[in-house]
Amino acid sequence: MVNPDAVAGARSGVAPQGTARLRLLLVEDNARLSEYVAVALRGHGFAVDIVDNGADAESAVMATSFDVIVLDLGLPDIDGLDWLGAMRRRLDQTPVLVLTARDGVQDLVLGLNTGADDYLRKPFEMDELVARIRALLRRPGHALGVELTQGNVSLNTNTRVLVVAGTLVDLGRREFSVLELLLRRADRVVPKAAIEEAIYSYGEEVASNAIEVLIHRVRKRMQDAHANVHIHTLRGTGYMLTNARA
Amino acid sequence: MRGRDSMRAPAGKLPKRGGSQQSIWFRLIVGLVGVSLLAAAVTSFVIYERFIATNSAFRDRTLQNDARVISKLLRRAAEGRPLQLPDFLADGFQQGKGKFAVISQHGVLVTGSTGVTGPLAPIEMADEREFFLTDATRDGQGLYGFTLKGTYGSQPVWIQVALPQGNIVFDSVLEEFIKDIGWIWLPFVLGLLATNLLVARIGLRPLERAAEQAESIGPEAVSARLPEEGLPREVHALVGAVNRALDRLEVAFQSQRRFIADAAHELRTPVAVLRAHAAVLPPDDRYATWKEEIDTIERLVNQLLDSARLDVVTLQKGETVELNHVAQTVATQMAPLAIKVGKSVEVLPANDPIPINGSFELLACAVRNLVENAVRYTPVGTAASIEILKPATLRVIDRGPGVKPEERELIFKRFWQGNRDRGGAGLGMDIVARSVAALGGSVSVGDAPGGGAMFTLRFPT
Repeated sequence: MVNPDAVAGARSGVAPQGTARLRLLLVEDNARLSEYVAVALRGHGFAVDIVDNGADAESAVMATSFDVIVLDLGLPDIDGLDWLGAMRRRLDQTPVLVLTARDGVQDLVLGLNTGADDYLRKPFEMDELVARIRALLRRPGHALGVELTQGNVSLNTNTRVLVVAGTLVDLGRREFSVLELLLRRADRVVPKAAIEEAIYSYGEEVASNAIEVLIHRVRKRMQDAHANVHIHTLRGTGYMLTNARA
Repeated sequence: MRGRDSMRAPAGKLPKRGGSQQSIWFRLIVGLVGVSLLAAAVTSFVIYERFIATNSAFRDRTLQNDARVISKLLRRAAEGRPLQLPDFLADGFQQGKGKFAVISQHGVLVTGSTGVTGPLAPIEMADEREFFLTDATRDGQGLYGFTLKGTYGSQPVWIQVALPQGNIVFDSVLEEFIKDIGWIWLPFVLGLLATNLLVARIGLRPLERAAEQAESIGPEAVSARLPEEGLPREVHALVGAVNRALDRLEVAFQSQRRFIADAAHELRTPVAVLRAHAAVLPPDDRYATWKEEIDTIERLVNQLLDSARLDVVTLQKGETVELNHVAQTVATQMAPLAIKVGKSVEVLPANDPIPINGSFELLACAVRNLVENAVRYTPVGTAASIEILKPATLRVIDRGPGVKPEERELIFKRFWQGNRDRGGAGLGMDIVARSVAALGGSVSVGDAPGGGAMFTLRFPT
């Protein structure tokens, strides 16, 4: 369910304290779609610039430094992937999320050498778009320190401070990493294998129930701290953190 | 590949070789053997006839010669030399294969071969020479002979030489000759047959290659054509026509693909606009309803596109997909939607990887539709399960009311009305059935052990 409050940015935890608003370039030739997306993203605290063709997009990235670019592939003057390729050849590493209504281009977009960081097929949920954009900004290696917020849980990836319902909560190193991973991909399934990869180094012996034990501990701490998020177990697949159901 | 029937029965519609259709080989063998036998028979008959004629002339000359030899001997005998038959005559007469008699003008036997007591046949005194035939008698066969007038001293005599009718030495020689000629025919006929079949086989080999190539032409290789090199002219015309038909089909196939790609873009864009618009409207009671309606439209659009895509589906040869991986990917995609409505999705993987031939997209499409269905019917608080089993089996199980036995066939029909009240257009199960068929597998539905529906996909291993 879309939370209509999201429009007002009430849930947003994107903007780090003391920095300017994140600047986003939206390259989309459908005027109505770009208008609504811009309204929604502005509601989430982004400064959004809209262009509707490749030439204007080129001028925009030359003139301004953007934190993230949302790129539709079907532009009137140039193929979005070609433009992206040219941008990457200039060593411009701005995160790019590709939007497309085309079929079966996921492999192409996320494949070798296109330079796209993520991909979303139209039509999309606005919440999903926002979550993906946030995820791009939180990518390891990205300079921004980020506050991950879900419900009354707030985790700062730089200071490694966890606040639940206004109270500081202590968490072990591995438990903290698990929670960070789940918060980064809130409302999406995090495969168990991805957690193992993130927590344990390559070749390290992992007990068969190690992840279950870790998740159990994180859950217990969240519960004890009266967190209003819930960690779902998806048997045989992974885990997913959501807002607790009302 | 159009229509589900052709997809569900990818093989087995081709006429079997042999069978009711006579092979060109069989016709060649029958034709060649017939012609060869006829030729052998006609030739043998003609040769035999020629031999009979030649034999008669030969016999006539032999009789005349023998008579002349005896006549000459008689003239010499009259001059006082002894009457001694040459060996070739004596042998023949002693073996009973011939007879001779020398008759005086009074009809009295002067001399003759053994057993001859009188004229071999009545003599016409007026004729100098004459052939005769006698009827068969008690003590021997009928004779065929020659009478020649000669002289013994000053007396006229008639020399008669005769051979038995039919069974004569020259005939048996000739018969053997005929038989030899006949035996010469046998290897000749066989050689002719072998040569013809070999030529036909070599000539038809390009056709076999063309047939093999045609077998391999499917949606994944619409640009492939039958080889036209080395074909006999008659077959070349057929193959050329088939290739031109394939050209036209390829154009239609590619334009259908382009249409689907364009339709996907054109249909999704307005839904995207609608969804984005709904997301930025002020909060409203109607929002939830709108959202559901947009979901329905989007789902229908995606299913129609999936369904259309299945008509032009292409499978790359050698492509494999792993069942556990597909199950986990689909569960990852579907779980957020299930959790939103208070349900869940679980995967019960097999211990080992289970690869099958086919594309990830196609299998994921089938499993996604099954899981979507299972999530819809499983009660709140329960999970839709994806179970992977050996050999190459994937099950999707829900804890809902199950599928009534009488609906278990109908459920896979396109636009089936049974679940319309649940908001479905009746495309999901048709997509499942066609995707699975395109992968060479089968789908069936039954009751889960704990109640609810259990859809089972089985794939060739």
